[in-house]
Amino acid sequence: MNNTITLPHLIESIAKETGVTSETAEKFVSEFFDIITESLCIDKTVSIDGIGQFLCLDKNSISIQYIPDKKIAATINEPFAAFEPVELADDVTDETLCPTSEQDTDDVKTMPEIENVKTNEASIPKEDLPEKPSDSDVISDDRNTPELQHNIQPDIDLKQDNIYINQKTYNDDDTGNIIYHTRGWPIVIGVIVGFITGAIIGFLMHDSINEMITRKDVQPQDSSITKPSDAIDTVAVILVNPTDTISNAIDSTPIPSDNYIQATYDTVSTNRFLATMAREHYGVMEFWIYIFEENKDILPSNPNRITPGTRVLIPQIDKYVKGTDLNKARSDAQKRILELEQELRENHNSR
Amino acid sequence: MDNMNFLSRLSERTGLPAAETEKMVNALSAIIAEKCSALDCVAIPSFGTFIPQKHDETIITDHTTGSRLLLPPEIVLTFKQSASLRKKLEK
Repeated sequence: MNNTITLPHLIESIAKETGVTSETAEKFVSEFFDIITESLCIDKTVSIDGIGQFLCLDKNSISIQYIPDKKIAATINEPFAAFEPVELADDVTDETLCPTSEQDTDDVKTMPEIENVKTNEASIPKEDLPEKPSDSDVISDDRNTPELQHNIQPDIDLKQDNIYINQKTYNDDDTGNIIYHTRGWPIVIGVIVGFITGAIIGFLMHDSINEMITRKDVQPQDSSITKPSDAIDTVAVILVNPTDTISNAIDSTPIPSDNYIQATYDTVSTNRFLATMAREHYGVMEFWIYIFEENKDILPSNPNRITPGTRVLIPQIDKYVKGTDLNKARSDAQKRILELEQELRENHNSR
Repeated sequence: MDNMNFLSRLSERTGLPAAETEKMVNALSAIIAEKCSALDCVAIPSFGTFIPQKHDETIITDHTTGSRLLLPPEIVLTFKQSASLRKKLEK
């Protein structure tokens, strides 16, 4: 509607209708209207069955009058062919006949008359008729009166999950009341209630949740010997019996191997020396020499020149200390320390 | 020029048989009618445009008798010539 059909479209339609080629149809259309033009220039009139008559109003006129052929006129006016002129009675006014200016007579959807509403309503299945809304915003309660039920004109717009029904009710004074009935509110209310419930449950159980989280962070502090892991890069955990210091170990009681926790690595710092590590890991300060000898590859020759931050391996004491006599082990360690000092002195003098 | 002369001349110019020419003229008429009944315009370059016009229902009054007649709506086919056709006619 209100489109303009161009020549190529016309040619294509003719070719499709008659079964000729596009070139033939194009030539036909071109010659068709050329002949009409020539005839108008010469004869001033041309008549074609099925199209109509083209004629110049007079000899010198350049305006063309077109009179459509009866056949084409009837075909074009076919939608309104059933209508006939009607003689109006004297009491029929223009206002009664002509609807409001907003209504477009070209529109297919026309407002049915009041007496036809009954038939329209009868054609609507019962399940499509609007229900009585319980939670809708009802402006007028006159819907259910007998005389007004006939005036109800439901305009149902079916959508997939929601049915929106617009009703127009007309009272005696023709005032319109619009009722909207929607079914989306329960879903919104359900979501809000669920959210509030989840928040309350989370608030009540947050202690247990925190406990579960902190339980993962707690490291087991076991007093028994733990096997050293090569992947662990940590300081030795604890000294089993802090009271088992050097003074307590002076007596010749044997060294129980259970009192020594085997750690893997440790790091030298400004306040953490090899002696500190030995006292912490082995319980005997002199055993620092064994840590030094274990890490000779990475440590300088002078143990007093170890850079803070150096990571050293804490060896198993069984590797260097044989037997279980603490005094003997200490004295052996002291001998090794003296040998190292002698060696350092000699190196210093030789330079 | 009447219809018969027109068809014979058209058949001569296009090289098609008379029956074929008449068939194509009928097809052209049917297509124009179909498009215009849907209120679409048909534009022919260098010739003009076929324009369907819809007239709403009207009330006409016979002044002699005073009776009023309600005329139904109708669609009328009109033609608007192009400027090039006007120039050709001027020559």
